[in-house]
Amino acid sequence: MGLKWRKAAGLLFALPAIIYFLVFFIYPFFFAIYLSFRDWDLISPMEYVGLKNYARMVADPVLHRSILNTFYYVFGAAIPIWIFSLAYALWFNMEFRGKQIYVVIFLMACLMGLVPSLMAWRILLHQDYGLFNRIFVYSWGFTDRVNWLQNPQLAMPGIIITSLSTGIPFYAIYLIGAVASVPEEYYEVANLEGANFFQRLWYVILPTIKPVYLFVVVVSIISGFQYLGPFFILTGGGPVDATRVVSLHIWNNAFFFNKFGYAAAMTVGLLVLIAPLTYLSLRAGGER
Amino acid sequence: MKQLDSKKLSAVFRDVRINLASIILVFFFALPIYYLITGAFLTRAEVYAAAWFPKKLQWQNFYIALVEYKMLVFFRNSLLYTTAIVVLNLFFCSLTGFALAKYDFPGKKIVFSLVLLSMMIPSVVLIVPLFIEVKSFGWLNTPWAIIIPAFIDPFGIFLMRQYIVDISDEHIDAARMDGCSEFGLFWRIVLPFSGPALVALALYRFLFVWNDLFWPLLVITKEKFRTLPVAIETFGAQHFEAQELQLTTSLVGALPILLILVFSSKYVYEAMAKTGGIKS
Repeated sequence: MGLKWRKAAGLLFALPAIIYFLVFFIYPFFFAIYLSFRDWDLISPMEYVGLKNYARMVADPVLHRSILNTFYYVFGAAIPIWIFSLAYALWFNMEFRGKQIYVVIFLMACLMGLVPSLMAWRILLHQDYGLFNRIFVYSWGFTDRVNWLQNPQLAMPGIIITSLSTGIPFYAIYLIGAVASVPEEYYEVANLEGANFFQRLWYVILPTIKPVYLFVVVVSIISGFQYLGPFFILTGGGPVDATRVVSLHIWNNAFFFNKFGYAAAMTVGLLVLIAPLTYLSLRAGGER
Repeated sequence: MKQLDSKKLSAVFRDVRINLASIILVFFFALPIYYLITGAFLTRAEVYAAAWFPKKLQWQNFYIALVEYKMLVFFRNSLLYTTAIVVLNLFFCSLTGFALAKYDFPGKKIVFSLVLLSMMIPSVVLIVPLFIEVKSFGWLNTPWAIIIPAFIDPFGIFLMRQYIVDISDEHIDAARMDGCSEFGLFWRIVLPFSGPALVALALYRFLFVWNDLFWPLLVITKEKFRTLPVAIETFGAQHFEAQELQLTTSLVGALPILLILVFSSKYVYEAMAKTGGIKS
């Protein structure tokens, strides 16, 4: 039972994972690229079409609208998440009696499940009987009906509201640990120097939590690009394409219109778009 | 003595102040949770009247949801799939994590790079080719389509590898000297030592699989194999007017998680903090 056997054992233990990666990661990855040069509806024979699907991407106005919408959504949701998740992490870094209750609420908010959360939001955002409007809009003197999900100008902000309700707690909990790890002495020195809150934040907290915070920034962007749930459940891309995003466009082309080649081409395009971010996040992850 | 009391008093005031502020600060996030829980007990008229809470708890909502709309069946399906996947992941993720942490074998670097890379590739990018692949295997409309592609998970492997790396080599070598087989090392040394990581892994996989909507929506069209999130979404799309029942079915779906969080939030919180967040 020498070293050779030990090597073989290691390989054997990793074998299920290797099979997994071959079958469910590498093969589909290259199959997507292969498919992107072809037309296929899963029934009639596959047809090689060269760059037609990619040419179509350049000419597809709905895709262009979807790309703009995707950027609107990604940064519309991510920027508040960066600000407020850190703010909440700082707040809950304080020790006080009863803190546990709020931590549980935050955990519930982000972990209770996308579908239940969105079903609740669909009613909460309703223009007439939605409690969200009653509390945050009508009670402040607005008398116009605010129809979040059916108004082209308001649909995307409405969806962003639902995403913030899960995203901020999720990243805040993630950041609490990082903020707590800032050594007490750093604060003491900052206090001796007479630093105010923003100076402490800028010179003490942010440099210490930088790797984790960078990770949050990048991951929130990446997951924003692939987000499909609220668009699928709440608006279906409407009204008049105001909330049609790339992931929904891919989904519809593949599974409603059976244009698998075109969907694959857009998939490849999305991957190219996300690749630099993925690289960044791996580096940020490595720094941790 | 007097001074001590005033100190105590001011500490209490501080707690009250912070709690009041916290209530305002978390209100927005608590709103959907509150509405899910109370809304499930409303009458339809109360939903349309924007009621804050039910006048009388409508327990029959649950009977209608669970029995008439078969949420009990879908609940059982979800529970079966999720349990199977969690058990498979506990075994295979830790086995691979063990191999990556404690062995040298040809291709180890490649496997580890694949772990990192696939963690970062969004699932939507692979969903089209994966669907075609699973269809060609003939798994559509069988539980296999849900269970087999999820039997192991890159993030789970990463999690277990990071934990097992810290288990001391001396323990493992000593057991090896005593004639323990290589698999025995895994089964009798590594697994028992990995408790906290296994809990985190189980939680992470449970949450992910239990909540997943799109993959099961795609690969299961037969009602008898349907999962809970798909059933909730389908119900909402088909019975738009039955808003109170949408909330009831949603609460049924969220209930296991809410209960886990009420009773073991500390565990979940620690797991999230330790593992660097649960990948959403």
